[in-house]
Parts: sequence; structure tokens; C-alpha cells
Amino acid sequence: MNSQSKRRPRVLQTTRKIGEIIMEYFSKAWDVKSQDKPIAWITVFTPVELLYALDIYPIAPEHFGALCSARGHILDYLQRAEKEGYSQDLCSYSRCCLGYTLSGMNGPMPSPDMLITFRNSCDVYVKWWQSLHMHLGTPLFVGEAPYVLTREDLNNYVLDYVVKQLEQLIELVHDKLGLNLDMEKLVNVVKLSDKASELWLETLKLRKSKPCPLGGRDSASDIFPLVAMQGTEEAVRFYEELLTEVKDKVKRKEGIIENEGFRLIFDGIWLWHAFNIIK
Amino acid sequence: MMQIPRKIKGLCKDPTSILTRHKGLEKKVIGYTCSNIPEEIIIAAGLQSYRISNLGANTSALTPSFLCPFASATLENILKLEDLFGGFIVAHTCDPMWRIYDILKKKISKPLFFLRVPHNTNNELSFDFMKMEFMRLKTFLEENFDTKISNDSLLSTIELCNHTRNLLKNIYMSNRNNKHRTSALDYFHLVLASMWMPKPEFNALAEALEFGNDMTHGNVRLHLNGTALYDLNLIKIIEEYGGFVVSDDLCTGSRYFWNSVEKSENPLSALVNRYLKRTPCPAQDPLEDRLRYISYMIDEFNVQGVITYAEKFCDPILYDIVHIRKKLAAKGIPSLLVDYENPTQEIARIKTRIEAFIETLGG
Repeated sequence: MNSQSKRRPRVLQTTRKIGEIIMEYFSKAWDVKSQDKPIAWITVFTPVELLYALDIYPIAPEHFGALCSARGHILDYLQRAEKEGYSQDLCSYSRCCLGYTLSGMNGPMPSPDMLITFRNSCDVYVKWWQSLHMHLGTPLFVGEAPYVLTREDLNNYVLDYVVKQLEQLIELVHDKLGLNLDMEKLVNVVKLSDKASELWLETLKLRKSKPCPLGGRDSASDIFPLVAMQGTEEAVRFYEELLTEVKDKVKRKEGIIENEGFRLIFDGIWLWHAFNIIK
Repeated sequence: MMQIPRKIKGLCKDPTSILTRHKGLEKKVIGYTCSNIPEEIIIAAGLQSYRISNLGANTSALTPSFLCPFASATLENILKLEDLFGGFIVAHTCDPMWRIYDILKKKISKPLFFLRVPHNTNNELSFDFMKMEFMRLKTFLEENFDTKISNDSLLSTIELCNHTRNLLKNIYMSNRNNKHRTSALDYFHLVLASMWMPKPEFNALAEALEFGNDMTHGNVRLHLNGTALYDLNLIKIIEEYGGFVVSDDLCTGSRYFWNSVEKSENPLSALVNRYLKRTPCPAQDPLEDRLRYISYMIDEFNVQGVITYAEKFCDPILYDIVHIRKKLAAKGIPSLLVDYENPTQEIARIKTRIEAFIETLGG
């Protein structure tokens, strides 16, 4: 193997489609907006299935932050947020979004009709969404998914608390936007969501194979439909295609890099601004 | 001038001194981290409550350098002082406190409880959830410390803690109507001591205090906000330069005692009401309630300027400050944000900024 191929591992054919999928995700938001249909800005892990069943198009500004960072467009937004008084010590995903908001929202994300967050991964979500609400005056929903301490929590007042909040969200959407939940659609959307998750898990399990058929560069990008487009046919199609390609590579004993030496785990958030590190 | 007992002043210099005193007694001490934790339930269990500070500890090597130094030093204190406590209660208020719990789970052997505090204080569902959490806390204390918390003991403890709150509020209110009867340094000594001493002992000392005469000599009336403030040098330097902290929004200040628990036949529900409906802490929602509280304090206490003390990397404060400053600007109130990582090491820089700010206000 020459030094060039060492530095440039292969990327899966399916992964190459991600860029287009991301742009479609944002351009679809503008299509929805032009049809006078509502857009919600959500934090990642907000149950998007419910929003699709309410006919609201959800977009997650965190993906916008990653996109801006990966393409080197983030600086203007960060500086705009800092000009407003947001400290450099704050999460840069949030500063990018706040800067974009304060700059007039003339990029890939149309303005939101509702702000929805669930406090289920980091508490910054609450403060970030509060700030958006203060700047835009758009209706805000702050949901809570408490830290699960024991397995019993999945079947007691903790679960009850979360379910009732989802019911509140349905009510709020009805009050503010005049929309109703389509239960049949919800069932279908959840099925699609589960299907995409199953396909992704099956694909990940194939990484046990030696040589590894799917690399870090692939997994960083391929997660996008699972996080942003849960409950859609597009996400299922993407993961079906990915699984087929990965299975094929396993069968042919073809790895993402030649002469696999060490297997590593990457823990944390990808360095979008320095993606070459993974390459 | 109010004469603060030497006992209280000494305690504020070294809050752990009281722990060694408790050690000789049968009563076990429960360390807790935040004013969202209901002391009443601890005391009603026949245990001694003790608020854990960051004093006397450096940041912990177990946390990354970009974690709030206050939370990190609090963790270090818990690890250092574990032997002096019977158990600990940590509340989920912000990310660092949540992570502290995760670390403590692996590092300490004493009983540990994690109170999941709802962020949305305005949601009626939060009441039921918090009540279940308080009930879980009650069971935790009963099971781990072989005790029973009766309704009667809860009711009498609520009365005891309400009395502490009333005493503190009474002192606080002495500075209303443009008066300066209690220095901020004295007031903060008292608030901190009330979180470390047994309540009956503190109440007796506070009842015996006498107000001094009005000391208004053109001092600049200031409002101070932030999270928890244990290092009283940060108050002292404000007073040294002619500033007078007349009101605050701190969890080691007015947020600790402002609202009392209402009398009720169901003490647990009354406690939930009080803790949920008190002024939201910066980590909670809605922010509008916090802004209203700060605005009320400014009007009620004739405030001329606002200082915000922010621990480095404190997300709640650093987001809120944008909106607080906007609100203050609309009211024509000048403000200053002072952030720090280690106030002892940075005191000269902090002093310069405080002095300049007070000077611009005519002090």
C-alpha cells in the first residue's frame, strides 16, 4: 500500500449520497414554508415522529451547525452571536444557530413557527431554546425526559410524566397552529422509524467483521438520516442501500482501509471543523 | 451596625469546622448541593442538613478543565469530606451537577441520592413529578438511616425552616425604602450560616440580632446576581469601593429564603409547591419569571447598578446574561458581568473592574 492510500481511505458509495440528502432535508423545509405549512425547530432526540403525524416539518439547527462548520461557513454566525453578548465559552452549535437567527435567517433554515426542545441529552438545550424564544417570540415547548435511574423508571411515574408531556405538545400544536394528530400516520411513521433503526443496528454489527467494512468517516455521515429524518421513507431507503453495500463488502472481505492494524472507538462529538482527522 | 456573632463569622471562614462538631453527636449529617433540595425532609428525618460549598477545595482532577469550576470544586469537597457525612443528595439542575452525580456513584461508598428537578417550573405536570421525587427522597432517607418521617415531623420542620426564612427576609427588607441598615457582608454571613448550622441554633442567634441605624452615606445601591456564592471576599471588595449590595438573585441569597412553605395538611404537597414555585434558578424555565424577579428587586430596593458574578463555563448564567442586560438597558440600569475561574487568584482583576464600575455610577 502506498502512502497516498494510507491517508485516503475509501468512503462507501452510499455515504457519498449524504451531502445531497442533507441539502434536500433543508430545501424541503423551504418547500414546506412556501406552502404555508409549519416548521418546528427542534433539538436532536425530540420525538420527530409525533411532529410528522401533526404535519409539522421538524428541522434540527444542530445539523445546520455541523454543516456550517464542516464547510467553513460558521465564523460569521459565531461572531454575530458573540456581538449580541453570547460568550465564546458557550456551545458553538448554539452560537451558530443564535447567530443565524440574529442575522435574519436567510440561509438553509426557514424561520420556525414553533420551538420545541426535550431536555434529554444536555441541559444547554433549555437555555438555547429559551434564548431563541426571547429573540423570536415564537411559541416554545420545553419537554423533559428525566434521567433514567433504574429500569423501573421505564414503567412508572417517569414514563407517565413523559407521555403526558407529549399529550401537552399535541394540545399546544392544536392551540397555536390549529393542527390535529393523525394517529394512523403516527403508527406508520413509528414503524418507519423502527425500521431505519433496525437497519442501522444491523449495519453496525457488521463492523465486527475483519477487515472493517464501514469506517469512521462513513459512520459520522451515515448517522444523519437516523437523527434528522427518523420516520421517513427516505431514511429507510438509505439504510437499506447502506446495509446491502456493507454486506457485500463483508462477503468480499473488503475493508475500508487496507491492512487494518488497530481498531479504535471515537467517543464524543465529531470534529466537524476538522473532519480530515477521521479521514 | 449589626453585630454578627463571632461563631457565625468563624463558620463562614471554615464551614467544615461544624462538621467535626457534628461528628461527635449521634445525628448524621446529610450533605446536599443546591437550594432546590428540600432541607425540611432531611431535618424531619432527624438528620442534620448541610449545604456543601466549593470553599477550601480546588477543582477536581476527575473533571475536564472546561467544566464549571464551582461544580468541580464541590465534587472535590464531597470526596475529601466523605467521612464526615452520613450521605449525600445531589440535584439535577445543570449538566455539571448531573455529571458530578455520575462520578460520585462510582467514587463514594455513602448513600447517594439524585433528585431530578423539573426544569419547566410552569408546567402543572412538573408538580406531580416533583412530588414523586420528594416521596422517593423520603423513602431513601427512611431506608438508609433507619428512621420514619411522619406528617407531624414534616409540619414542625416546615415551621422551623419558615421561621429561618422569615428572619432572613426581615433582615433583607431592612434595606428597602432607600435604607442601608444591614451591610451585605453581614447579610451573606447570616444566609450561609443558616445553611450550615442546626436551624434552632441559627434561629436563636438571628432572633437576638439588633439592627443598626441607617448608614446611607451616598453608597451606590447594587443588585447582585449569579448562582451560588460562598467566597465572601467577592462581597467585601464591592463594599470596599463604596458599593452596597442591597438585593440579589443568588441561590446562596434571596432565592434560598424568599418564598416560604404554605401551611397545609399535606406537607409534602406544600413543599413541592414552594420549591417549584420559588423564583426559578438560572438553569430552569421560564426565563421570563427570573427576569421579572430581578426587575422587581431593582425597583423595590432602589437599585442603581447590577453586577453579575459568573463562574467560568456556567451555561445558565452565560445565556441569561444576554437577556438580563437587554432588560436592564431598557430600564436604564447599568450592568457589569464579572466572570472568573478562581476568585482568589483573580481578585486583583476583579477588584479593578468592580472599582471602575462603581466609579461610573458615581461611587
